[in-house]
Amino acid sequence: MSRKIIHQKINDAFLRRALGNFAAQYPAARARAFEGEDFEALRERISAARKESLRILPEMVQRFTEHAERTGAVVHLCADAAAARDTILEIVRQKGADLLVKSKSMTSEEIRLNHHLEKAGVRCLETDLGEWIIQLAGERPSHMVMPAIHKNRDEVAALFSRETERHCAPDIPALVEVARETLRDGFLSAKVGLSGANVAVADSGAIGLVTNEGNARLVTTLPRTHIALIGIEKIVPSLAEALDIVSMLPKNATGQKITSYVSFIRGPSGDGRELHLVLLDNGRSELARHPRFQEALKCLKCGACANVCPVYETVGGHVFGHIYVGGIGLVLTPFFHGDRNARDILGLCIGCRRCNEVCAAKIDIEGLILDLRERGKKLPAQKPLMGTFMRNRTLFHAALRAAYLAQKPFQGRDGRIRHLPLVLGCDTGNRSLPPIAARPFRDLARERVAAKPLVPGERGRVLFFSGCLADFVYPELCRDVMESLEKLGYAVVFPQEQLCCGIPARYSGETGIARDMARLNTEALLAERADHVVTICPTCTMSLKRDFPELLLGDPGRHARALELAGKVVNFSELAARSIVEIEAPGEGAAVTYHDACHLRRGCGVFQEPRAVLERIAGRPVREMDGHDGCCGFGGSYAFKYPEISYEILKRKLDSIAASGADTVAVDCPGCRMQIEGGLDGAGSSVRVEHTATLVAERLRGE
Amino acid sequence: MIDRFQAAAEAAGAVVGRFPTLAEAARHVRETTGGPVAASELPDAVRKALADLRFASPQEYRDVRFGLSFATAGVAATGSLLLELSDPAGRGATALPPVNLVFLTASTIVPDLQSLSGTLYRLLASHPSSYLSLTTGPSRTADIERVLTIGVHGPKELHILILEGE
Repeated sequence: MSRKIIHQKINDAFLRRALGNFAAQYPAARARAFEGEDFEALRERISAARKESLRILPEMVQRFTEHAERTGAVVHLCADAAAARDTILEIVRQKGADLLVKSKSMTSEEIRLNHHLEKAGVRCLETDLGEWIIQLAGERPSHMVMPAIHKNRDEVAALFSRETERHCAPDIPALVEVARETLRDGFLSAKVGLSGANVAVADSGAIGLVTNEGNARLVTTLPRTHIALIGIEKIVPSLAEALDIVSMLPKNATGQKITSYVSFIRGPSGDGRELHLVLLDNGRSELARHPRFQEALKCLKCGACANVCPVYETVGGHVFGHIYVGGIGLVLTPFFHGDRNARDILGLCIGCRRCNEVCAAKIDIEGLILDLRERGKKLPAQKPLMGTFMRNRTLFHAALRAAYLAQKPFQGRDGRIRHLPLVLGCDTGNRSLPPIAARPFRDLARERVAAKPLVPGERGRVLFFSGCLADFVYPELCRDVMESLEKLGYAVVFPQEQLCCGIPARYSGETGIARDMARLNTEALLAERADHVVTICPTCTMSLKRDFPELLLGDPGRHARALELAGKVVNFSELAARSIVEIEAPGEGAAVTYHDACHLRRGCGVFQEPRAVLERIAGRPVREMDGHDGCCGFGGSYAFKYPEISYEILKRKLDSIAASGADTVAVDCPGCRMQIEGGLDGAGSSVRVEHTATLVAERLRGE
Repeated sequence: MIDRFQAAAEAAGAVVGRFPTLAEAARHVRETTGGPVAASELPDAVRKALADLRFASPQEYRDVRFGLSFATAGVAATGSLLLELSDPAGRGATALPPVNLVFLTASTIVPDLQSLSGTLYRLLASHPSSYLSLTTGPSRTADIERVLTIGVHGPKELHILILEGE
């Protein structure tokens, strides 16, 4: 994605305000819509039903076809986009029509129907207000449910004025009235109408439409021929599954309990009317057979993944997506619109996993994006260099030491780096960077003496896996971790053979390197007897716990060992929380605010433990900030690859921190610490950022 | 249940009136509409009660102000109406006029969407073709600057006439 377009979207004040307001309102509206409902149970049912239908997709198509044909509908199964377009064109021509009125259909966007029909001399008229606006503007939807969210009333008024050849004031109710009056003629005169379908029911041949404006009812009622364009993954076995989807869609899409209209249409309405059901395959059958990526077809197109995405909120759907937008748009694009269109956008995901949390069909959107990166383009020089450095501990560490010397000219008086020369190809983007430490923790660890436990009796033996950032940038944090755990009664060892967890390789699509890191680290960490392996970076935790066993699936022996290791891995706060009973903080220190690291909260499901540890061991009351679980914009190399986006996301976090009034931010991730610390320093703030382990160590040292 | 239905329907933007008898509801319709009315299929008793009303022909629907229909059921949780609209003309009567009046018999109100599924299933299976519409409030859009605006392509007003005594 070109920096110029990103820059342009970031500086589009209206877009930013529109997306920002929506992002701020959506979570509460969604929560209200789901009041009294069990979202997890509902999405679990939807996910399971979708999975089963995908497994027997050809049979589902056949069952739907049989039942639909019994109602008198004509079913057209189209293998690809061109076949679907030709079929629709043929029907329109048979009816002697030169106008097609349409209600909203993302599937018609997928096959670029309007473009092709217009070339063949058929005028397409979008009647959904948002779709009509972007049709008049010659653009594509920037959101799957709210296609024109990027357009303001002035732009709409100008488009409507041009179309109607009279002055339209930028007054929203008046503009809506213009659409009503102008589009009426289209509804009443068209011989053919086209709709999409939110769901198709196999055992009755019915389709379901979930809409608000009432245009879909006109499109499917006034023209005597109705064409419904349906992706074959939309077929569900029976009405029960359809009702689950109807119940889910509006709540998850826009926070509505139900839309104004939910219609079930079965068969043509008699009187010589025709109903054509155009079933679109377009790669779906093949995708449904893919062991990993079939999951993407569970998507209901509710758009919730965009609604909660911090990157979408920053740049909008014209950057974050292709025709399908948002997190799932990144996933679907390579399959429907080719790797060429996907290549630029797959890197835009920051990996915060908020989309996974809200996905209506429980799709592992973030995981699919990671796996898709592997298929994408790799920089020619990246692989050998990255692999050589990461696999070889001595070389990797020597390189980091060289970097320590190289950074000297750029350090400020306090040691922090505020400007980097352009030749390094990265931009600190209003943030300062901490320097690489003179001596990494792995060197300091050899010399240190264990601290005395504060309570008698050994709680267990712990291996400390520090992660690269803490090792080389925050060695004092590593010291605090070991000291805290020792004082809490653990015997702690820092295994010198530990390597990078492999996440940077996986995020760059270099699975081969990640697999080697999994193998080497598993060996290193199982070489010593231990009850726990403690991490202080939740991204490392996810790598060790979730990715290692997966990466080593091909080798049963190594897979078993990776599972053994995974069983021991625990985040610092989780382990510390187990000592709360013995160690209670005497008295209260100053309040802190807590930032939930994405991979700790959504990756590991850990968010209560650090708060308990802060309050009860470190003696620091937690004063919650707004958006405490929102991403800080770091995302590993993301902050350097897309510094502008990263900084915009960070700004929201900095505002929340300032509003909390706390003088310290606690966090359980060195990456978040670096990002937030850099942002606060850049903004001239005196608020301190510390890992929970450091605040615990301070208290246990009596500071 | 009726109270819950009314609260939910009003929250969705509908106007709800409760009538002890069909005759009183019919009088309300007559007083409200005055002119010609576009109507979908109505039970005979309703037709009879409104015998003096002029029913418009489908060609006139575009210019008619009022649409009239009779709901098969109501959903208390969401304030929704289930309308059977298999006849395209009847559908037009609920889709084109800016004001919709819908009769709903109180005893047909069910608690939630799930409890309506048996009815939906039966209605979908009983005819060779069918068009079922769950309607909740008037037509709406938030497509310009996410500002909620009532009345786009469908009705701008939805009046629900609950028949309590029937």
